[in-house]
Amino acid sequence: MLDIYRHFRLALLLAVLLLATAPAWGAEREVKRIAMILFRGETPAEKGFRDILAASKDFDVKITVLDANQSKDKLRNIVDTLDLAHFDLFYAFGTMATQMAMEKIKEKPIIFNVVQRPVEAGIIKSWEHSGNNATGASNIVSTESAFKTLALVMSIRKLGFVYYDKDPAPKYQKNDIAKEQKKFGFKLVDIPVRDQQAIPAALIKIVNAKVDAVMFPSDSFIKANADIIMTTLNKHKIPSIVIIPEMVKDNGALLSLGPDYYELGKLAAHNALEVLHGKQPTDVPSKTVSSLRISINLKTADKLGINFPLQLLSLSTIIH
Amino acid sequence: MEHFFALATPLEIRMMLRGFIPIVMILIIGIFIGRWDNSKHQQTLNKLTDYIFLPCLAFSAIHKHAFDPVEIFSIGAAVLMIMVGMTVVSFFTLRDKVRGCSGNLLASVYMSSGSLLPPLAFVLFGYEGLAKAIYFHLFVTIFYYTAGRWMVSGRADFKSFFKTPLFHLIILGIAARNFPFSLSDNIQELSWLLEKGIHLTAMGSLPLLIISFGYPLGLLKRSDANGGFVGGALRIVAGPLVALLVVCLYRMTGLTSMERGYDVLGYLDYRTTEALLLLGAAMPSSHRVICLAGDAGKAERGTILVSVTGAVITIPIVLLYILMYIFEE
Repeated sequence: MLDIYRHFRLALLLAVLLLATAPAWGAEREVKRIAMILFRGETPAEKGFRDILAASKDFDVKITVLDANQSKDKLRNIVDTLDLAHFDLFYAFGTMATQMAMEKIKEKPIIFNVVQRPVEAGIIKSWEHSGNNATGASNIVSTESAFKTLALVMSIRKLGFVYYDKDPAPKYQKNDIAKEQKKFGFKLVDIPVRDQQAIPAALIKIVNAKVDAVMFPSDSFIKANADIIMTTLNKHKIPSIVIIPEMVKDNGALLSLGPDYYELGKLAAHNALEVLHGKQPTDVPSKTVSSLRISINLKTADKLGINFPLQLLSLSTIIH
Repeated sequence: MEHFFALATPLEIRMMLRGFIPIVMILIIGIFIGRWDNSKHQQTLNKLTDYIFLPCLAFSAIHKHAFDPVEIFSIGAAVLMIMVGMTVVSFFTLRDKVRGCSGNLLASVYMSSGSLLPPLAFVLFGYEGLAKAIYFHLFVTIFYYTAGRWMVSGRADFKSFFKTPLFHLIILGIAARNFPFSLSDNIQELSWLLEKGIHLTAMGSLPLLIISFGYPLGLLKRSDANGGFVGGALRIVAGPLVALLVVCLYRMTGLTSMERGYDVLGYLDYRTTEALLLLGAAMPSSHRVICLAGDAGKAERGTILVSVTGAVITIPIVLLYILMYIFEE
């Protein structure tokens, strides 16, 4: 009898608690519409962005994806035909998409992501205050950390740097790499690529230059042409170091030393939430991921005869 | 047992075996060469190791490695603690005298840090591991010329240590790494060419070092093992246990921080140092100590034989431990 009374008391207590919290559960979340302007489809960055927003208690976020499918013309068309009034916030992936979006969108907030040099690209004035309607997350990583990691695996004396000539962002990365030449004892071999037709000539130049490895910036043009580039490099046993982790899995690059895109997406989402809560984008500092995410393609490593030390394997994402 | 293998992934075990098995195979080749040759070229091989293989390897590893006095100090202090610890343990277990001791006590204290450790460290832990292995061997060599000589003859021999090419090439490697002046393109190209030559010699010397370790073992007979079970077991079991105590001490004092934080590479560096200390302490006896103590008696030969044979089992166990508890968080 005493047990039944105890159970009844417990059930009553639970019912009271549930009733007390009922208004919070039942409260309507404010609907916010976000346009996602993408150049090369959704990446783990967008997944991280979506996951954080979906967990928001305050907002019911409806996302519309506008993908340019790696076409600059299509991207221009997407931006030009945007219905600004329909959306509360705009998310842009990459430097080019962000720059185009900023030309068109002046009144609504823009959350940029995977923009390596937002200050140099003129997207924000400073990391603390953008001075405009943009804030977001950058995929910039410490060049020194990248070279320290590389030193664990291989000895590099000649390093090729292949980049899309028309994009200003990789040139900043090239300057950063050039600064590390003396410290890490290598010589930078500059290989700009003007367009898709110039890729075979660039690949011949890499092979003839007898470089010890080739580094690629975080560049959508390189990603779009990664298959042909990586196949040639692997055929000639030239190690490839990339920033975009998917290139290790999808295109057979040896090693990626970049940020975790999922984490980047989460950082951008936190900025988006602050803006949706009413903060001005200029007052929301732009963010970066502080640690490297290392991805290794062991199949490529086997082909190239490169042995990865165990301590590095223990910290890396391994692709078989 | 299930838990034992659960933490180390099949990939890591595969990578570990990929490094370890070729070394065992080269060692066996060295043993057979020594047996066929009756080890008559031992002196030549020792000289090649001391004057060419090891110095080239030392320069090649050190000049690519960031100079870090704290790292050198932590390896040096750890080696000192391991050697002192092993001397004490061996002294009480083997009931030998410390001054004027037998080669057996030396064989259980001194590990083959200059022949077997660098190739293993390179294959398993890359250039970082190789550089740390060279520092480890440097401090073992200091101990060899000081405490080792004192234990045998009552006199330390610092002078001989300063004459070793290994010491000079390590200093040269550190100097080349920290060379403060910019070189012209032509001179730099020339220096890289020279460096490439040294690097090639260094890489080529890795299997030769293993062969030079296996070569004198060819003369050992199975019956030699009888007198060396205690000494051999001390070397390969007590050695890593003493090193484990040192690693725990370092962690407690904060010298090798356990915080991964944002500096992943710093964290990785500490873990590699710990791994190297454990691996270094798990190496089998060095046949070089026999040269120090004079002719090899049955006990010394037994200690070497037992430690080498046993290390085929104990080194993978130490490596599994490293994978499970040192590299895994």
